[in-house]
Amino acid sequence: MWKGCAAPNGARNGVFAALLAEKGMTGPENSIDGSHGLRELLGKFDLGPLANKGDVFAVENSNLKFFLSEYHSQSPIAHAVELSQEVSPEEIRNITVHTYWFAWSEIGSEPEKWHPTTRESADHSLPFIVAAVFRERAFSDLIFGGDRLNDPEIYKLADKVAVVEDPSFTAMFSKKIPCRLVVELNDGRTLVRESEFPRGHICNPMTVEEIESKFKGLANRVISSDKTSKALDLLRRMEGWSSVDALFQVLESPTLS
Amino acid sequence: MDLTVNALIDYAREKAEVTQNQGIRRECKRRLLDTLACAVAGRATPIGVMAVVTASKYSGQHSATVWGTTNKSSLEMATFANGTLLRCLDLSDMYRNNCGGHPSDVIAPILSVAESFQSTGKRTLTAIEIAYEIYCGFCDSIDANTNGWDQPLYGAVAAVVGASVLLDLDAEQMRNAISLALVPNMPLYQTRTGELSAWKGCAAANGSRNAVFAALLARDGYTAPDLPIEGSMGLWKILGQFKWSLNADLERPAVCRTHFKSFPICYHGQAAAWAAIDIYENLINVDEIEVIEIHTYSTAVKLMGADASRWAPNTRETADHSLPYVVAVGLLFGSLNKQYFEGHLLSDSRIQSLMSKVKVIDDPIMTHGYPKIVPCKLNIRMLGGRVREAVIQYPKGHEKNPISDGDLEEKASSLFEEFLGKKRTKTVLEAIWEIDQAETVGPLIQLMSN
Repeated sequence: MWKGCAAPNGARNGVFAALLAEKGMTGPENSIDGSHGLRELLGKFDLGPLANKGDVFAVENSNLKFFLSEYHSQSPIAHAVELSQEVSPEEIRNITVHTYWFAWSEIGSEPEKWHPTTRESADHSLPFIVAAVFRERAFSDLIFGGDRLNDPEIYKLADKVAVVEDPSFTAMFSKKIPCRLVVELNDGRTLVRESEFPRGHICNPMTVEEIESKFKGLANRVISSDKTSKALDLLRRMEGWSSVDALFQVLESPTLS
Repeated sequence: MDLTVNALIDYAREKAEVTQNQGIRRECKRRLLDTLACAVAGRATPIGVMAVVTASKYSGQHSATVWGTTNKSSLEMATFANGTLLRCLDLSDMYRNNCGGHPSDVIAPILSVAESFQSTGKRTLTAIEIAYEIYCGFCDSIDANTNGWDQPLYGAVAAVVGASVLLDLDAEQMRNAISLALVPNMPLYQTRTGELSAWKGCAAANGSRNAVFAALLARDGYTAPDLPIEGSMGLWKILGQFKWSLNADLERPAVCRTHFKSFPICYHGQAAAWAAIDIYENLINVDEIEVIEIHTYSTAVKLMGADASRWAPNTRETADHSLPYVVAVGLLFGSLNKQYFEGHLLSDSRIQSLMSKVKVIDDPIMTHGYPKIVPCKLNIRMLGGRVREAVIQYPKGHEKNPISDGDLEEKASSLFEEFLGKKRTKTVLEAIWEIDQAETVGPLIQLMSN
């Protein structure tokens, strides 16, 4: 559970440090360059140049997730959603996901990835995810819970999935996030989808409408669609705010308190 | 399975179930008395003021008192403020083996949690004994400091186990609590390197704050990283494999073995201070002094006499870590109370003239005997060739030269009285000696509120 809390805990301590400094607390000198500082632990390193006006800023460079799933499953999910519109599960002889070594090792190599039994392993199981998408002809994170984990139809499809490391893909990673999905049908046809960047990657950016739609989908789980629209409306005009209070008033969720 | 974590849990849960031995209980109370006196008097220092002000900005459903005040704060922030207060004067207890620190740091989180969750006095004293054993046991086991890691690393683990006992966490929750106190909180030794900042006295308090946070998370059901010590990216990966020593001396657990300070200066100057006072009491004429040789062990030389700044201290923090300053004040005034570290005396010409006659000498034999012995020899050459000498092996308060309850009360009273007056101080002292009879610790804490 701490996996998702460790970074917020770091942020908690960052806020604490800022508030202490505001009150006049002095901190250890040379926290990076000192004889017991960060460089002593990590070895010599230099921060790259920080962006100036006219440069590309880091905030423009981070990749968004399109699907509520592990990052390396984003492209396989997209291709599976597309191809699942063209074929029904009964027509499928086999499915091959061609990917880079890291994805293969993280989410596509161990036997449990074909028949996961917990939510935490299901959302890190590429064969299971791809099979579930072909079965449902859509993706949602609902596949990670409830009866989907015992669905024999998903498991039957998962047994037809192979995950293969493609060395040329491994060489491209992490500059590119390549993926090729190949589906062989019982009638001999072969369907292929291939991409270099998942939707949401800075080289394949999500549109504002797509990000808003992601926001709506998530917000609607906990607040009314009326409040969701209000929140979106506020967020569109954020540069005019004098404080953030209004947003959090809209986002208050009685079901979570 | 993390066997080291299991050993900590087994030790604590066993200890928590047995009635504390009377002698050990008394040692816990002596440390409680010493620590609370330091904390209450620490309030008047600039960092103490800052800690009180900062904590007063926070509140929470789990709350605790900022000692010496009527302010309540969130449990975590009260722990931070109290942990800072008890260190402000640099007068709290001390322990050193392979590495070291100030085990009484654990009293801030333990007493704050005890107040918030209405633990009994007995349970609180037991939690103190347990936390001391874990803190000092680590110091007995391995040197984390020269590897670059600071005291709150083991302080937070000690504090979280003490807090877990008071919160009645089960073994699984305690496993999570220990992991959550350790894994996210690896403090750099840079805090104690170079020119020192205010953070020197707050770092441990911050570890305690995070330890309390960890214990509360575990209580709420958070699960933590597995194998925090023995795992492939755990503490062993950083420090190397080691066994966490516990129960090394069943008769005299760690809480009986930490050293009390008499003077608000670095521990390694305590022997020098006593030696200087010894010579003062033999009626020396300081005007006739030609040369003052301070012979001591290398750690003391490194920390209190290594460079020119120690012969010309500009700040309180440097003065109380300066052998020349401490010895000069001792020879001139026969006392080293905190008023001798205040601004105007730092530039006093009599002190400066004596400091200029000081030579600090690293004595290899003394260094060899350290840390079992913490000696200092003052050798003073007077006009006409006369020599005065004083040798201290164990300063008063050391385990081998224990401070009596009476002397400890005198130290504590002098600290309390300035803030609480004589009458209330007497009541506070009684409440501490009788804390094992108390249903809750709240009344003691309120007695100290001003």
